[in-house]
Amino acid sequence: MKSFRIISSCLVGLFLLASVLAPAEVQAFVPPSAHDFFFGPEGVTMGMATVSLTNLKRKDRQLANLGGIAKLYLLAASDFTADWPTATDIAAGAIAGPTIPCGAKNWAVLTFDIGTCRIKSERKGKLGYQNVGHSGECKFAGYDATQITALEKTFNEGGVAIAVYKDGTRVVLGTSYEPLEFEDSTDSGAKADDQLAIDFKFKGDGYAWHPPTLAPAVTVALSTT
Amino acid sequence: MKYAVKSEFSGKVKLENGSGSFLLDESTPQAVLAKLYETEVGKLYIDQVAAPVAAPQTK
Repeated sequence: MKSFRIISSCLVGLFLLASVLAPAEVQAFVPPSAHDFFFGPEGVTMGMATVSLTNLKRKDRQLANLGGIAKLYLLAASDFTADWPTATDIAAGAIAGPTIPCGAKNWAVLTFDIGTCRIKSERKGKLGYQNVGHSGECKFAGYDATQITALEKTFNEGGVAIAVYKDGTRVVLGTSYEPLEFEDSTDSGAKADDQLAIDFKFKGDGYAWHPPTLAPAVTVALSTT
Repeated sequence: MKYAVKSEFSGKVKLENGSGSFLLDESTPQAVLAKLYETEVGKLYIDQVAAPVAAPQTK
């Protein structure tokens, strides 16, 4: 028994050595059904894909890093003429565009209270099942018919958001085919110095990326009315 | 070449990109309209109009 184990170990060792020295010949010997297990695209990798991580570093020193969102634009999912953004639109964390497929539809501009708009994204899930959620919120002072009419346009309508950071960077949240969902709440406050405000939130889940940036060349048409 | 904002959009649309934010109306400079017309989005809101022909000089 012991000699059988020794001989088997030697045979496996010889096989591995042959795989490194003459991979093509060994590949021809191994049945095709076992190829994926034994051979990776870069040669013999024994069933595991070649992975590499890249360096991740903090923002460079001597540069501003201001929190908060400066501007927020929304477009209804129904206004898109094609799926956007898809994985092919995004390269290295950015959308080069140069066009957003929404025809002559204008993005709605949300004029929120200063210092109340934020966006978030979080990746979660087990290995092999990970996905990213996008969300955001902002507040609007007041409660009047014009504001309610604007909110009602988001009732049972999904959308895509473009948030502009204070350094001008624009990021896209949601997609037209899995749009953000909108939720809102209003509060009259109980006394004069309470905040009579509308709290507006949006969230979407199941994306394969954190909000990508929009290249400077991408032009967005905004509504002024 | 001269450019003009389409009448149905004049004063109602602002185009924004990495270069800045530009309101489209009668007072938008020609240079800005020309630059925006180069984009696909710009062509939806801006028309190319014929430059006025100079009146013939009479002696």
